[in-house]
Parts: sequence; C-alpha cells; structure tokens
Amino acid sequence: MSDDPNRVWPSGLTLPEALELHKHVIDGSRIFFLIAVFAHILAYTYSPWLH
Amino acid sequence: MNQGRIWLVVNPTVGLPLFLGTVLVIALLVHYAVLSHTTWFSGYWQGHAKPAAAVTAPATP
Repeated sequence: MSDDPNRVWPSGLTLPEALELHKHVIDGSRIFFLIAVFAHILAYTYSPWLH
Repeated sequence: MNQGRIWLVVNPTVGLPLFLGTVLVIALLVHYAVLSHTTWFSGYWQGHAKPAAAVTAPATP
C-alpha cells in the first residue's frame, strides 16, 4: 500500500476504484432523480402548486 | 460519468458524506421554504375537514 504506483494521492485510490465508486454515486443520483420526479408529479397533481 | 476521477482528489470518506449531507440540507431548506410560503402545505398536515357539500346524503322524504 505504501508506494503502489497505481494509487493516486491525495485520496489514495486507484483510477479503477475511483471510477467504480463514481458509478455507484451516479446510479444513486439517478434513482434519487426518478423519485424526485415522481414526487413532483404527485405534488403538481394533488396540490394547488402551479394551478 | 466523466467526473469519476474526482475521487482521486477528494477522499470518499469525506466526499461522500459531504455530498449526501448537502443534498439532505438542501432538501430540508426547500421543504421549509415551501412550508413557510404556502398555506396548502401546512393545510395538508392540518387536515381540513371535507367540504360539507360533497358528503350530504340525499334528503329522505
């Protein structure tokens, strides 16, 4: 771990590790977005918002 | 998906909680803003009684 040339500082991850982590962050963000879109559709339908 | 290298610079043990915590704070602020600037949001929690007109039974002779 100490002087692995693939590890990048300051975070100490390797590029594949960073890309794998980011894939999960993006997937999570997409799920959050879908839930938010659904919530806004419900709010628009059942509340006076924008009516 | 082209921002993945951010985790080479930002340590995930700091970046992830910061990212998720920020989303949480923004969500709370937006809900509070809507709650304090509309009547229908708190009215929904208040639970208005159904308008009487909608539930009156037909008058029996």
